[in-house]
Amino acid sequence: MEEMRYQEIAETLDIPIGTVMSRLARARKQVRAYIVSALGQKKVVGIQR
Amino acid sequence: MNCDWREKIGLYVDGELEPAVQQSFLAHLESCAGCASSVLEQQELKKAVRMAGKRFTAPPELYAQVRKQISPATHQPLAWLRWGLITACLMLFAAFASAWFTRSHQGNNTVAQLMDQHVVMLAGLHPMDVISEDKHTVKPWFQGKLPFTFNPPELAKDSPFTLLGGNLVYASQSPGAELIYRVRLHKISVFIFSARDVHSEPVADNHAFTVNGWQQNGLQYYIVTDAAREDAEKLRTLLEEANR
Repeated sequence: MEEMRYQEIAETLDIPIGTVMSRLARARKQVRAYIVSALGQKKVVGIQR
Repeated sequence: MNCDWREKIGLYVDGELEPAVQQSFLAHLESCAGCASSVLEQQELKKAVRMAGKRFTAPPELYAQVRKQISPATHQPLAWLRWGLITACLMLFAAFASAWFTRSHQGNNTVAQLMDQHVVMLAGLHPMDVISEDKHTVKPWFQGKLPFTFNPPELAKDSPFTLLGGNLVYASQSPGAELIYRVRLHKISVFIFSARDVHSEPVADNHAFTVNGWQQNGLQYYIVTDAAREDAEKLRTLLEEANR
């Protein structure tokens, strides 16, 4: 959301760039799973199908 | 999908591939439907999260907590930092997502509900109910599902708009149609409800979205899109003419 490059994130957090990549990949997967499960359980709240 | 390029998808979507690798990756996309579809999904997901982030602000306490946990000054064992960071990110995303759903659940605000529906459509998490560029396929699909009828406009060959399909949607406990159009790289949702069920609300552009609403012949129309306001106006004119 802050639109930072991987290198900038690594420098800001003082962690290796490989760690940035693996955390982002994991976060993407979890956010996707969260949204899919939220939509799956509630369909779309307020806009029921 | 079992493809050597798979791990490069996130890097490509974030614009982090070396130019030479990016060229090869783009060439690969032309021949690999699986990767192309994943790229599209990741791009739409990124866009949807970015939009949700613009619409809602996380509480200052959450920001402070996240910043504290990921601060480089606090050198904790790596495992703690990693899990702290992941948990903090998830809490932030969960806060956005639950604010998104909760707000639509409160539900008096039809326009907010329709904007949420538009974001869900952009995220591509549901296949469309009817997929066709032909209005003679899309319109009949709604027959028997809605207590009203409408005419999608006839699009000229050189029209900037392309019909992509439609969804049956509900807002304020009333059924309606969502027609989805493409204009250049943007998607446009046209929502149509009976004006008896869904009342006119004052509309204003909200952050990245253009919203346009009007009533015609007992129907309430709303256009929601991230395309330019002029595009929404043009499509509105076409719809008004088709439903005179």
